[in-house]
Amino acid sequence: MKKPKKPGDNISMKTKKNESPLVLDWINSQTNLMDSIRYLIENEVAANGIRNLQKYIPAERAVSIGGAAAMWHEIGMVDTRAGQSANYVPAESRAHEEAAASKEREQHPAEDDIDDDDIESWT
Amino acid sequence: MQFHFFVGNDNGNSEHDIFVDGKLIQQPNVNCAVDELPWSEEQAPEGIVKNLQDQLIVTIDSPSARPGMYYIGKFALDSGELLDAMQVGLDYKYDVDLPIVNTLGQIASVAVQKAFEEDKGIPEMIEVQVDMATALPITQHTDEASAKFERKFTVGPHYVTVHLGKLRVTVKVVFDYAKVVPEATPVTFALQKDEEGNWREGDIFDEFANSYELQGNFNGSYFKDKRILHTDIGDGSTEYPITEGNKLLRQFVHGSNHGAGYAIEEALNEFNGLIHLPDSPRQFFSDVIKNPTHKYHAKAIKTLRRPLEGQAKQIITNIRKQLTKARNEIDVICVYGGGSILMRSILHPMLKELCEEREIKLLYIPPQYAVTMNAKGLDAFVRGKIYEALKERAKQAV
Repeated sequence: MKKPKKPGDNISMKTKKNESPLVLDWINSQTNLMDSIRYLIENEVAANGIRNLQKYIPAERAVSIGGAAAMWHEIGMVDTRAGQSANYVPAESRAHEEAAASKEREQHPAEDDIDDDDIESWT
Repeated sequence: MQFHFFVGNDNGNSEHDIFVDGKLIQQPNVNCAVDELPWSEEQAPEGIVKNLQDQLIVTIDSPSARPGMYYIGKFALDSGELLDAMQVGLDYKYDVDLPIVNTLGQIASVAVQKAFEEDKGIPEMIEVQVDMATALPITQHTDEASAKFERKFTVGPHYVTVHLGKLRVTVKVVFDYAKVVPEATPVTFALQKDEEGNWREGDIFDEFANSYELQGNFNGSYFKDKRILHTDIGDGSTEYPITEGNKLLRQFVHGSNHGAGYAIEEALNEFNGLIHLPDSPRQFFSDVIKNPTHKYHAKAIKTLRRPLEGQAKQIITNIRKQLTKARNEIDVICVYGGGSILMRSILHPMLKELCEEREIKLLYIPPQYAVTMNAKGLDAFVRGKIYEALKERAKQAV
């Protein structure tokens, strides 16, 4: 049995060798991947409570993609326009990030300053 | 009796710097295989435990090294026996027994000490679970080599008998997971944070903060997103990796076979001539270099100067190559390692000039910290989140 996650723990995820372009395009268009996934989790939990999705979703799902999303993909217009779907997540304002980065001296280390990219670079 | 230890392990060509359970041990990285214990009469085990690392004798039964009895580190060096050491520029660290034997020996020595402190007695048997981060020189670090080196530890269990006089303590060492990284790369973590996980502060940064007028209470948070070109000058190799914050930039990994060891080998003949000896060991020469009051100190320094200059020039050439590769997009060049101490008077002015020309800052680590940067980095790495994530992945893959 895996150790339960505590706040601040890492979760590491790997894409499949044969990941669908749709999933990859979505991942590549996020500016904050963890927060976007968090949003999806929040929606799922709000709708269905906490459950192990593996018991409820088919293993082969390539064909079950929603019509609208599939169409956007067909015509090469993957989520680049703001507000085109109800699930659109506004990106964190860049200005806010810049301000945080340029703060030269901090007194206390941030709790969670290691991200997936950091981990990936050491594998 | 059971322990769990985090181990940050820097197996240098000349010195073994290893953090075991937060305790730093610095020993000459040598050992010798022996046939019997050196004592003829009883020794009080309690007397040996306190400074165990200075009189460390172990019998190793491990799948990864030649079984037998060994003197480890300082005790081996002082014994006058035939030493096994890593040959500068010749030995591959992942192929030889020495790093395995000396690492197991030091881990076992700390286990014995900890058992003694905790219950004031000496048990017959101790089990230690180990999480370890260690490194290979960049010139030797390939996926295959690091996997091979990791396996030598994790294939266990290893049984180490620690000899306290005639008394024996068996330590069973099991490596839960071991990660081998390119040497020098984890130093980025040691620059940012101290052992408690707070931003690093103190006189290690004084010269740097003053020369660039980085006012205010300067601390390691300065480096958390900086691109650092490391220059880790060892005895047998120099490493030039580039890190960006907590990331290792794989495309720039580079190392070369230069270091203080080559200069010493080159100077040794001339030195022996000057002091009218047919030959004297490298170790003697090193001791004379480190000891300014020795009567031959001036002669030793004199013979060393030109070979050191040669090495320093080669190192600068390699640094320039790295800068070109990275299009000068480097914030800080950070210099450390045992060789950086000897070469300081030659390298520092050259690098200062280079850094001004390219608009880069120079952090030349002060001598009192230069040697242990790697061990500190590995210790920070093994306790950190990245190691934890890598370990979890490895466990899931099985």
